[in-house]
Amino acid sequence: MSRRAKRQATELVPAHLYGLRRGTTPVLTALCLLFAIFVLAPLVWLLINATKNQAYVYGSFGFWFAGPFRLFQNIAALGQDISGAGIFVDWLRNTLVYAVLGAVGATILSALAGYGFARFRFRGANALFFLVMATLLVPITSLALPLFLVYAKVGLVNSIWGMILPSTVSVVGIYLMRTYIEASVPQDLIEAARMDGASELRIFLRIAMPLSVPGLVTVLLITVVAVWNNYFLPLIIFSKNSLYPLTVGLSSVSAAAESGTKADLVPVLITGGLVTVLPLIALFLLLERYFRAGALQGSLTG
Amino acid sequence: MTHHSTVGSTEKVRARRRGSRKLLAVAIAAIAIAALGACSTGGAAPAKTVAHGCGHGATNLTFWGWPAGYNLAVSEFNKTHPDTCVKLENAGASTAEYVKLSDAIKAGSGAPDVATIEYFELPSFEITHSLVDLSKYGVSSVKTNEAPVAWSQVTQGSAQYAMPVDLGPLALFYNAKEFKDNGLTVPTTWSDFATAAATLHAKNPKLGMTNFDPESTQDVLALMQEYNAFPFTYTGGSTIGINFTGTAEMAFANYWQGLISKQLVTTAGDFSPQQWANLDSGANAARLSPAWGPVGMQLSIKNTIGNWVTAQMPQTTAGGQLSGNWGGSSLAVVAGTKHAKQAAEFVKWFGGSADAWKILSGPVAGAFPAYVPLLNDSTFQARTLKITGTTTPNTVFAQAAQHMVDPQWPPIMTAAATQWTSTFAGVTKGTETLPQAFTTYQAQLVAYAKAQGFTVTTN
Repeated sequence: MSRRAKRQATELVPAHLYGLRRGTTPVLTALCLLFAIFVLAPLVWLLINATKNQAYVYGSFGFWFAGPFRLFQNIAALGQDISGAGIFVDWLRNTLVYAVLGAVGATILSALAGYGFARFRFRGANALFFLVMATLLVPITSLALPLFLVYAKVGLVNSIWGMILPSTVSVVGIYLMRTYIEASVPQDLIEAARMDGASELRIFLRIAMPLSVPGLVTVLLITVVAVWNNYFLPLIIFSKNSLYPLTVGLSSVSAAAESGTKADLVPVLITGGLVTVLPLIALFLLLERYFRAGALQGSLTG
Repeated sequence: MTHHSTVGSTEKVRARRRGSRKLLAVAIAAIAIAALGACSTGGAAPAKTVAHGCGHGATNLTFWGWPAGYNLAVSEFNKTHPDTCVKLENAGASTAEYVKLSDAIKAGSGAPDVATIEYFELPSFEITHSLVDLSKYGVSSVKTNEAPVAWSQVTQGSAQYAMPVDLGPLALFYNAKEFKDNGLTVPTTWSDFATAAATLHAKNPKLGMTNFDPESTQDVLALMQEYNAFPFTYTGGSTIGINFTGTAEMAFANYWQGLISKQLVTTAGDFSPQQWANLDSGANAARLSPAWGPVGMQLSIKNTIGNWVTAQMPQTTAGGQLSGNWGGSSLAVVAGTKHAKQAAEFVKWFGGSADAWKILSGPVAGAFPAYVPLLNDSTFQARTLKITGTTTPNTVFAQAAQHMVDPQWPPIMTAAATQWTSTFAGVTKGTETLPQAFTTYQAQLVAYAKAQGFTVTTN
C-alpha cells in the first residue's frame, strides 16, 4: 500500500461511525455545493462580464460571453479618468497603502494589548477589557459628525493618516490575541523566562510572539479585509478623489455610470470590481494555513 | 489549555519557525509595497488637481464637482483667466457631496469656494446661510440668458444663490419601429397614452408602454411637475407647503396606479439593467426621458439602435406644452470663502458663457444647457445620436426647456428623498398602491417638517 493510499484509508472514516444516517452525506455535499455556487457565481459573473461592452452587459445572458471581447480595453480604462470621478489605479494603490499600514499597525497593537490582558494581572484589567469590548456596540454612523469635527480640528481631513490611524485599532484583533495567547503561551514558560532573567520585552518578542504566529496572521488577515472593505470612514474624511480607496472610488464611478454619460462606464466598473477582489483572494490562499489554525484555536478556548 | 500547548514536539517548533520566517517575508513585502505606495502617493497627488495655466500670484479657488467633463471646462477657464486658478475636486456625487459640504461648513474648515449643487438641494443650503448671494457680484445680469425654470430655482426673491448650469427637461422618447408595427400613433395627451398602452398590451401581453419607477424620488417629482401636480411650495423662510393628497396629486397617483395594476407599464428601477433590457427587447415601447437620458442610453442598448424618436410629453389637457425637470445642477459660491468676487466670476463664466458651453455640451460632458443662446442654436438643435437615427432629440428637448413649471423645492429634500425610498417600495412590490403611498408619505413628511420647526401648510 502506498503512503498516499494509506493516508486516505485512515482519513475516510465511514459516515455511520459519526452517527450519520445513510444518505446524509450526499445531502450535505449537495448543500455545500449549492452554497459554493451561491458564493462563487458573482465572481464568475464579474469575470465574464468584464469582457463585454455596456450594451452586452445589459442585453446578453450574464453567465456567458457575448459581443466583442473588451477585457483589455476595460482593464486599460482602469488607468484613466474616464468618468471624471478619478483613476482606479490610484485607488488601488491607496487601498494597498491603507490596508498594509493599517493592518500591520492593528496586528502589533492587538498583540501588545492582547498579551497584556492575557498574561498580566493589574487593577481594573477586567473593567478595561469590557470597555474595549463595549466599543463594538457603538454604531459607527452615530459617530460620523463628531468624528469629522474632531478630524477637522486636528487636521486629519484629507490626510492619509486620518484613514490609517483609526485602522490600527481593532477590537476584534485584541480579543482574538488575548484568547490566542491565553491558549498557546503558557504562564509557566513566562515565569521560567523571568527566573532566567529575560526582560519583559524579550519575553514578549522571543517567547510570546513566536508561539502566537497563527493568531497574528489571523488578526492580520481580518484587519486587512476590514480596511480593504472600509467605506464609511474614507467617505467622510476624503473630499479629494486622488485619496480615495477602492470602495469609495468604485461607488463614485457607479454614481457616474448611473446618471449616464457618453463613456462606457459599467464594464469598467465591473472590471474594477474584479480587480478589487483578486488581491484578497490571493492573500487568503497564501495565508490560509495559518488562518485556519488561528481561527480554530480561538474557537476551542474562547 | 496549558497542557495542550506544552506538548510541543520538535516538529511543531520547526513548523512554527518556518511559519515565522514566512511571516517575516510577507511583512517585508508588505512594507516594501507600502513604501512604494507612499512615495507615489506623495508624488502623484498634486498632479491630480486641474491647474493648467495657473501663474504665480493667481487667486486659488477650490471647486467641488462630479459631472463628467467639468475638468475640461475648468482647464479652459484657467487658461483664459490667468488671475484665477480653479482646482477641481470630486468630493462625491450628489448626496455624498452634500453631506461632506454641510459637515465642512459646520466644522468651519475644509469647505470649497465653489460647489456643484442640484437645484432641489439649494434651499437646504440657503436656509443655513451657507451660500453667497451672487446678485451682489453682478451675476444676475445673466438672467436673460437662462431658461426661466432654471433661474427660478436658483433665486429667492431678489437674491441669487447659484448659477444654473444644466437642465433635464422631459420628453417622450419612443421606439418608432415598435409603434409602427403595432399601429400606434404618438400620444399627445395622457389619456391617449393610456389608450395606446392598452392597445399595445392587448396585442402582446409581454409589451408595456413605458417604465415607472415609484421609488425614484426625482423621476416621480419631475412627472408630477409635468402633470401640474407638484406637491411642494416654498418661498424661503420657515413655511413649507406639502400637499401629496390634493386633487391634482391624487389624480396623478390614480392615473399611474391604473397603468401599473393593468401591467401596462413596468416598475423596474431607473437605470437598472432590467430597464435597459426592457427598452432594448421591446418590453418598453417608450421612455419618459430627461434631456440627458438619450446620451446615457446609447451605450446601453444594441438591438433597437436608430429606432428612438423624440416627441413632446403627453399632456393633461390637449394642446398643452408643459414639461417637467429631472436633474441638472448649479454652481454655488460657499459662504466663508475669502474670494467671493473671483468665485462669482468663475461660476458666471462656467454656466453662462459660450466658451464654457462649447465644452460642457461636447462629447465628454454631454450636459443639456439651461443657457438659452445654446438652446436656441440651430446646430445644437440639429444634433443626432446613433440611437435616434436621423431624428433630432434636442429640437424637442430645447422646446420643452422653455415650457416648464417652476418647482419650489422645500429645504428638507435630503430627508424627503430618504423617506421616499422606504415608503414607496411597497408600490413596486405590489403591497400598496400609489395613492396609499402618497397618503402615508404626506403624513410622514408633514410630521418630519413640523419636528424640524417648520410651519407646514397642506393645501
